[in-house]
Amino acid sequence: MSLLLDVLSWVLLLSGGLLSIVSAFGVLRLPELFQRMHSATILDTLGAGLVLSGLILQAGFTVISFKLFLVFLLLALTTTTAAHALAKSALADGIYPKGIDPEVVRAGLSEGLPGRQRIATDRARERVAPPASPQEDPPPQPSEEGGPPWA
Amino acid sequence: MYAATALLLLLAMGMTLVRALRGPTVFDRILAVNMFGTSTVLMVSVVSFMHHVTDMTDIALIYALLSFTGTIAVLRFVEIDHERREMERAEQEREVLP
Repeated sequence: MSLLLDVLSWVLLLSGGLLSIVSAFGVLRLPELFQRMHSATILDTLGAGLVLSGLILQAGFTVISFKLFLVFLLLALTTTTAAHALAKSALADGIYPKGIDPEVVRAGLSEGLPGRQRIATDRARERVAPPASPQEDPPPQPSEEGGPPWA
Repeated sequence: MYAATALLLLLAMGMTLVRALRGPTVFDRILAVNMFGTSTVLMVSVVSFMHHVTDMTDIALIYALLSFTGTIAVLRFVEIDHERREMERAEQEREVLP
């Protein structure tokens, strides 16, 4: 039984280490910020979960394994929050993922923002795609002599 | 076995550091530093088991909290800085225009 637990925890630890390598390789080599964020998520959730559960199997039913579980819970909460804040901040700065219609992103982004941040977001939007120049001629006035000629 | 895991984590931390040094935007750097903090937490846990000093798991717990706080603080700083620059530019353009 002890040997079984040992082997299981070794497998968990080693696969966690390998996943951390995969994740770091993705962060190093992927071409775009949002793809790198996707790759960093691998370590934050699965890599940490595997390594910590391997350690928990080694610790047994003790206070230490409870602390390790607490570490995992904390990581799962904080890294998702940090990734959300990072993505929002990057989008507000005008960095958009490739292959996605920027209008969709902007519409979702500027919805729940307070005024000053919304202004900054609008400025960033104009920097990425300058708006069409406004028309100089005034809108056509309704004629005084009744309806249009084709009526 | 702990040593092998610690070695893999060290390799991953090195690759993450390269990204943090090379990252084109500030957000790449923040992402890399955040991931470095996560792997440091894992590293501390593994090393505490490797040397049978299991009190070090408390350090891992505290480090996870501090790393999160640092990331959020730096992100807020960058955001406020960006916001202020945009506001200043808008003010300048308003002065230039009639």
